[in-house]
Amino acid sequence: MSDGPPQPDPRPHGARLPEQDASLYLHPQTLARLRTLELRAKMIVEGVMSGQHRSPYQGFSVEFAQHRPYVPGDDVRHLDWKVFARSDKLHLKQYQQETNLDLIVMVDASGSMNYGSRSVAEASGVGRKTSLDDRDYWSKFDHATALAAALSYVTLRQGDRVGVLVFADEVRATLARTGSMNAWRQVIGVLSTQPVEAPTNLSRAVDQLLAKVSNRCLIALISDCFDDPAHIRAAMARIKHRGHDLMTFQVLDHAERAFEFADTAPFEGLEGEGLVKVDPRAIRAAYLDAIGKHLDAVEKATRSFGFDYQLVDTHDWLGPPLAAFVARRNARIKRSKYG
Amino acid sequence: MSFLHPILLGLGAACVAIPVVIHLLMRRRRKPVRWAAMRFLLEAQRQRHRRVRLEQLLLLLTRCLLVALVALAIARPILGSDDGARAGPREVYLLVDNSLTSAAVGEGDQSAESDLQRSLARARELLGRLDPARGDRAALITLAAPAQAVVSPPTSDLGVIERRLAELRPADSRLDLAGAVGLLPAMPSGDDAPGVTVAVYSAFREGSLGHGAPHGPLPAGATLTATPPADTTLGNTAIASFDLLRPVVIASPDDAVTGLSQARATLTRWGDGVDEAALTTLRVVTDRSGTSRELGAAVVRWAPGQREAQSTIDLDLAGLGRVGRCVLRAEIDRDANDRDNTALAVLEVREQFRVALVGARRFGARPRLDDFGPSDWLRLALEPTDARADRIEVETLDAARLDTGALAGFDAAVVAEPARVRPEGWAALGEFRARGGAVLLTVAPSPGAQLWPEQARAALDLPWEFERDPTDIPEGARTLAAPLPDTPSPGAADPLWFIRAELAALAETVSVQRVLGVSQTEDALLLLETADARPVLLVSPPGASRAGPVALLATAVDLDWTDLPARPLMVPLVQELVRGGIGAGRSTPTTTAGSRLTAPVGAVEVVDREGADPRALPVDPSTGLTRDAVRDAGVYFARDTSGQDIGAVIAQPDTAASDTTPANAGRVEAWLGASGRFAWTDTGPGPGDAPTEPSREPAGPGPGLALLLAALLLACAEVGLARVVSHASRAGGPA
Repeated sequence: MSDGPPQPDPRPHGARLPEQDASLYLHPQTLARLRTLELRAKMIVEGVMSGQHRSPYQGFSVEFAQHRPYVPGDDVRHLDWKVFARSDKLHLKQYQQETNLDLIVMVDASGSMNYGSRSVAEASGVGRKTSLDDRDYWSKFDHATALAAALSYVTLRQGDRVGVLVFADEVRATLARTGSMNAWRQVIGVLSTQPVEAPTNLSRAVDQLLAKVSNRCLIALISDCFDDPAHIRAAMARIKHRGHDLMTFQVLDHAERAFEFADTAPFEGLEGEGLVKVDPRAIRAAYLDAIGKHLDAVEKATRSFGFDYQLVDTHDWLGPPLAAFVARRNARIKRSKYG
Repeated sequence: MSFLHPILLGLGAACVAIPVVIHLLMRRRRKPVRWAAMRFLLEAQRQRHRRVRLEQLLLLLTRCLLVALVALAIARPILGSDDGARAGPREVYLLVDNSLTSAAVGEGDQSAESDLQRSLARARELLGRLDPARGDRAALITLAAPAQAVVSPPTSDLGVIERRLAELRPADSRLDLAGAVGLLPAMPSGDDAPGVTVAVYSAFREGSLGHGAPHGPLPAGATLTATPPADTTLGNTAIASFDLLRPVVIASPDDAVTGLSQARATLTRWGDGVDEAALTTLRVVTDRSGTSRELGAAVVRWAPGQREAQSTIDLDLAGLGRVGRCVLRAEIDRDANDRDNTALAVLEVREQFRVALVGARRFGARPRLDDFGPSDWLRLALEPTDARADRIEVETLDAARLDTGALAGFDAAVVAEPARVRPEGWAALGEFRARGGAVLLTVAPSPGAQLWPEQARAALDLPWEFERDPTDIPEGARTLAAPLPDTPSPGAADPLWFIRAELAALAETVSVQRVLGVSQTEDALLLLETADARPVLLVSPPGASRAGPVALLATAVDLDWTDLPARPLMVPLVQELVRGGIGAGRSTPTTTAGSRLTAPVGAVEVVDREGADPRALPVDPSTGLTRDAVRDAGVYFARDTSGQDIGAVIAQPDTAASDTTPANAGRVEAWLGASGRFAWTDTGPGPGDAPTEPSREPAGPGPGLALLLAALLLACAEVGLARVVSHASRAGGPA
C-alpha cells in the first residue's frame, strides 16, 4: 500500500504542515475521549505480531484452545501425553494464539466530500477561522479526515497497525500499514490530501485495496456514500467474501439532511453535475424522501453483511458519537462467540 | 359592454404586466449554491418539476387575472347597449334644484345643510369625475322657475361650472323641470356622439314636485337620472298671502297717517307638527326710516290637523310720516324654510285723494237740499264736512266737456250725470280706468230710456248687460239688502270691508224705488240689492288687469229714485267706494316669484333696487308684463321712459313650493320617467352619502360590484395558492 499515486500538495506556501498540527484533525475534546477507547476486532484477525486480538492460528501460547487427533507429520512435541496415558490415543494439544489488528481507513475524497455548511471557526474548536487552504467552511472531508485520524490514533495507541487509503473514483493516496506510534504523522500527511472533482467509485477503490491486502483486516470506510447503493453493496460483498470486517461511517452535512433552503437558486454539483435551478421549498419533501431512502439503503446493505454502520453529522462533535459507537461495537463483540 | 373610465381600464391593463415583471425579476441570476447531494436534488427536481412549473404558472395567471379584474371593476363596466353608457366623451347636464323648496334645512338646526347644499355637493362630486381630457363636458341649468341655463351649451371648462355652482342660492320660485327640459338642446346622434346624461339634483319634496306638472320628453339620446327623494320630514309654515286692506292711505296735515288700516294674511303649514296644536306669531314690520319697526302683530292658533289659517292684523300706522311708498314685511317664526316666512306689501301714503265729479258744474252758492242734483249729493258725500280731515279733494268736471286731459291727476272719477257724457268723455273715462283710476258710475235720473250704458259698457269694458228703461221696484221690495260677497279673501276684494259690520243695518233704512236693470255676470261683486234681488251696487271683478275698479250704482242719486242720498249709508258708502276703489286701482301689483311682473301703466322697465343684481327688466307694452320672469321675491320698482319711478311691483315667494313633505318615490319616478329614459342613482340624499355617477350608472350594483367580489374571491384564492406554491407549511424555515 505504499505505492499510491503521488498527490499534489495543495497547502499554501509557508503554511504549517498538517502533520505538525494534530489539532487540525483531532479536537482536544475528541482526543480526550479517544484516550480511553479500545478498538477491538470483531472477528479473528491474522496479525503477524502478538497482540490483544484473536488469531486464527493455534500455537504455543498460554491459552488452551482444543485437542485434535494426531496425524502423521505433526510435531510430536505438541502431543498431550496425559491424554495418551488415559486413553491410549494420540492427541495434539492446541492453544489460542493472540495477534495484532490491522486497521485500514478508507477516506472518500470525492468532490461531494468538499461540501460543508459549518464554519471552520466553529468546528475547529481552537480559534482557527479558516482551513489551511483558506476555506472558511468545514467540509465533510474535513470531518472524515478527523474521524480517520481519531481511529488511527486509537489503533496506534493500542499497538495495532494502521493503513490509510484515500480514494475518489480510484485510489488517490495510500499509507502502508504500520504499527509505530511514529506513524501518526504519516497518517496525517496522507489525510491532508484534498478532494478532487470526481464521483465516488467505491467498487474500484475496494478492488484496488483487496488486491493488496492478504490478511484479514478491519476496514473503516469513511464516506458520504453518494454512490449507487448497488455498487456499494457489491463492494461490501467482496469485503465480506475476503473475510474482512468493515465499519461504515457515512458522513453527511446537516444541510444535506435538513435541506432548509428558502429561496429559489441555481444549485451547482460538486462532481460535475452542472447547474440546476431549484425551488428548494417545492422539492424539499421529495429531496428528503430520496436521501432518506438512500441512507436506509446504505445502512441496510452494511448491516446485511454483519458490518457496523454509523451516520456522522458534520455539525456534531466527533468524540461523543465515536465513543458511543466503539462502546456499542465492543459490547456486541463481547456478547458474540468472539468475545 | 363599455366602460365609464376607459383610461383607468388602460392603466389597469398595463398593471397586469406587474406580476409578470415581478416573476421575471425573481428569475434573475443568483449566486449558485455549491451542492454535494446533487443526485437526490435532481431526483426530487425530476419528480416535482412539472408540478412546480404548473403551480407557478397558475399563481402567475391568478395574479394577472386579479389585477385585470380590479382594473375592470375600477373602469366601471356597463353592460347592454345603452347609448349613454358608451365609452368616450360624455356630456352631463346638471339640473340643480334651487327652488324655494331647496332652502329647507333641519328644523331647529339652522347650521345643518340645506337641500340645495347637499345637491351642490353631489353635483360637484359628479363634476369631479369628469375628465375634460377625454372630451367630457358639462352644462348647468338651475331649476328655480323659470329654469335658467346658467352654463349652456356644455363646456369642457369645468371650473366655470364649479364657480357657478358656488354662486347658487335658493330662489323663491317653484321647481320648473318642464322649463329645464325645454332648455336642453337637440342631442347629437350617431355612434360617435357623446353619451348625454341629464342629472337632476333635488330632494324632491312635495313642494319641488311642482304638483307633477308635465314636462316634455328629453331629447333623443339623453338619459335622465335623479337621486331618490329625501326621507326626512320637516315642519314648515309659510305666509301664503299678505294683503293690506287699505293699501293707499292719506296723511294728515301734520304729516301723520290717519285712518285705520289692517292687513290680512293667510298661513299654511306642512310636515311635522301638523297634527298638533301650535302657535305662530305673525308680525308686520317696516324698515322705513332705516330702522325696523313693528306695526302690528297677531298670534295664529293652530288646531290639530289644521293646515291653513287666516289672520287679520291691526296696523298702527301712526308716525309713519312722510308721503310716499312704504314697504311692509310680514314675518313669522323661523322654521325649516325661512324663505317663505316673509311676505311683502307696499303701503302708499298720499297727501290727499283727488276725485273728479263728472256732472254739472254749478256756480254760485250751494243750492238748497230741494234743488240738490246727483252731483250735489255725491259732493256732499265725498266732502261731508269742511274740515277736510280726510283730505279728499273733489273737483267737478263738466260731463259734456270731459276729456283725457281733464281727468289727468285724479285718483277716482264719480260719474254723477252719465247721460251728459259724450263719447269722447267715455273714451277718456275708459283710458282713465285703464291707468288704474277708480270709476263710480251712477244712473242718470231721467225717467226715460237710458242711452249712455251702451257707450259706457264699450268704453269701460264693463261686464254687465243694461236694460234700456228704468224699472220701478214694487212696494215691499224696495228695502236695500247687503249680501255677503262670496270671495276667498273678502277683505282684499270687498271695497265695503271696513263698514261690512254695519252695512246691513245701514242698508235696511234705504228704500229704492227705481233701478236700471243690470244683468251681472258671475264674476262681478254684488254689494247691494233690493229685496227682490235686483242689483243696486256692483263692482267689476278684481283680476290680473291693471285697470281700476268700476262700481255701478244701478240707481240714480236722486230722491225720486231712492232715498239713499238722505240716509246715513250715503256718506260711508260713497267714501268707502272711492277709497276702496282708489286702493284697488292704485295698489301695488303683486305676483309670485317665477312669474313675469305686472308693471304699472306707462312703465318701460322694472328694477330690483335691493337685489344683488339690479338689472332692469324691460316691460312688454302689449301685455304690461315684464319680458322676463323674476325668481326672487321682493319689491321691484317700475320706471317710465324718463327714468322716474311710477310705481312698485311685489313678487311674493311661491308658497306652492313650501311643502316640505318628502315626495313618494314612486310618484317622482312616474313623473320623471315620463320624459323617457330614467334611472335613479344608487345613493340617497343623506348627509354622508357619496353620490355616484349618474347617466352611465347602471341601476343597481351593476357588474362593477360583481367584478370586485370576484376579485376579492380571487385574492383569497391567490393567498391560498401562494401559500401552497411557497410550500411554507412544509418548509421548516429559511436556511
